[in-house]
Amino acid sequence: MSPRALRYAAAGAGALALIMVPFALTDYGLYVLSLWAFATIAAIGLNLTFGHAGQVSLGQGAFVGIGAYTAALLTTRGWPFAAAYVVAFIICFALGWGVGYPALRVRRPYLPFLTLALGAFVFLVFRNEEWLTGGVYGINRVPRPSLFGLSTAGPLGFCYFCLFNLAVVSAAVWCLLRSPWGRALAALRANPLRAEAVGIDTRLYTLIAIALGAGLGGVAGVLYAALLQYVDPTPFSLTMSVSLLLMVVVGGSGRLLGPFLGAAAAVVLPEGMRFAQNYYLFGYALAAILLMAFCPTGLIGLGERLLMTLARPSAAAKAPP
Amino acid sequence: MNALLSVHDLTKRFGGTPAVDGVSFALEPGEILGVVGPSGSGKSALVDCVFGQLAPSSGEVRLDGRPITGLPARELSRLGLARTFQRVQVFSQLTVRDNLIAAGQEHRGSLWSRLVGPADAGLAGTAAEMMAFFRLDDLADQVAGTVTDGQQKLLDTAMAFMARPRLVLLEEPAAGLDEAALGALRERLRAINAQAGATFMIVDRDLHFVTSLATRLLVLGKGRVVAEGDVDTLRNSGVIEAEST
Repeated sequence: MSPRALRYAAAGAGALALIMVPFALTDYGLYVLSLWAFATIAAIGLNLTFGHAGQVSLGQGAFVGIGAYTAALLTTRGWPFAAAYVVAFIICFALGWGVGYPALRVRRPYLPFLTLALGAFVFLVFRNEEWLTGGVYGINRVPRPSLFGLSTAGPLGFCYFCLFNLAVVSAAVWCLLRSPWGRALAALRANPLRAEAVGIDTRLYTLIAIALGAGLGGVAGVLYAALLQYVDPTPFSLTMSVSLLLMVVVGGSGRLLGPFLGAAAAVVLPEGMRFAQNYYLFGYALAAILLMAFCPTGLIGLGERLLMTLARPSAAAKAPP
Repeated sequence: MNALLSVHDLTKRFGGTPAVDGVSFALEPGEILGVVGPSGSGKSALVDCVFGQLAPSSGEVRLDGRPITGLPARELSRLGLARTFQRVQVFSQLTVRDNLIAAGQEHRGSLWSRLVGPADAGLAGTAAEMMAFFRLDDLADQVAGTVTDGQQKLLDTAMAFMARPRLVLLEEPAAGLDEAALGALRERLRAINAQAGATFMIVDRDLHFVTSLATRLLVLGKGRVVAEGDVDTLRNSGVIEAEST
């Protein structure tokens, strides 16, 4: 089996498992799985910015927050759920562009600072602008959508809705990364000198990646608001931004499936490690540090290394003497 | 005078010392200009100033009579200037085919088509032709970083032709190639020059390779033009042997 066929087979098996598993889960299990789908979408967005365009953003949590508040404000006023997606995506895309544009005008890496500032500003707006955001009390009773006439109000239905969102986002990003733009980003990462010499607009293409990454953060936020059916400022602090960045790094930055694994390690694993209590965070941090030191390609890279080691002896055994 | 490229009084200083010191020359369409000189004579700095990797300190570069001095490499590429570098510069994590497509895709279609258009940007055919021409066809799906140095060198050169450039700079195209590969490369460059009428600048320390292709030579020494003229004249007057060994 070629590596590519193996990869497709693994992705197919994973997708099938995701379709089957919700039936076997309790309501709480469904909530965790939905949370994982949300975090994966936000991390896929950040992976465009960090993994594919090589820019550090410390503001993905803020974009998620903007998406969540947009959804809460619009859907509680009777707007359709689909409109929340469009508006959240456009606002976050525009903000990502607005932050990325000045940051890329200078040689020094200013994007982390600008996104950090944006995050702090957005958090203050959520907390203090009560007329709009409800302040610390937040916004209640965010409705869940219906899809093709089916209500997603129950945990099972909403879990499938989240997985459906994840499937659509993954497919869209998969296509984008195979486009000439995706190739140009890969070329840029491989050799910036040659990329510039063959006419690749480094700044514009990086800016598009930052803005799309922010836009996907907004889309994830819409899902988050409907998952909790309630938004308040607390979750959208720097902690969420850093946690999402860690998911990208731990999963394998610049790899399409990296965020899936990174989000699983950050969202699903703690649930299975309840017995470890707060020591889990200690272990997670230690594992992340070890991973960065010894396997910078993340869990994906680690998995590939294991597969290669497993495949080598069998290939040697099959070879004729 | 309908020069394709004209360089007038170009100077590049690093600190106080000029690496390029008042160099002027012109290139006619279809010409193959060899740029030679000992190491440290300013060859690399000169071509980097012309092709946008360095900003010249003073002087002027014109393409078709329009000033292009100091434009970034990206824009010069769109105006039809293509180049290779002293060291092989391929996209080593991309396949050979993707390297070629990446080298040509920015010259066609809109930004929108590059985001949602066909993945090959309509260049699969051109890339296949180029691979056949440079005898890389068996390697299309190989990752560029895993093929031999000689093959990477050929890919590097092939990439410069993907966008049907008007002026191609080949910097050290002969470095690291064995006699057989050199012969093949020479034959291919001659064919492209004859078929497409592409104009070349060749910078190489291998004087034998440059003189076998060039129609005219520009000899540099200490950042200045020491001599300029056709190969035979310069050889008879003894300039090139004296300057380049």
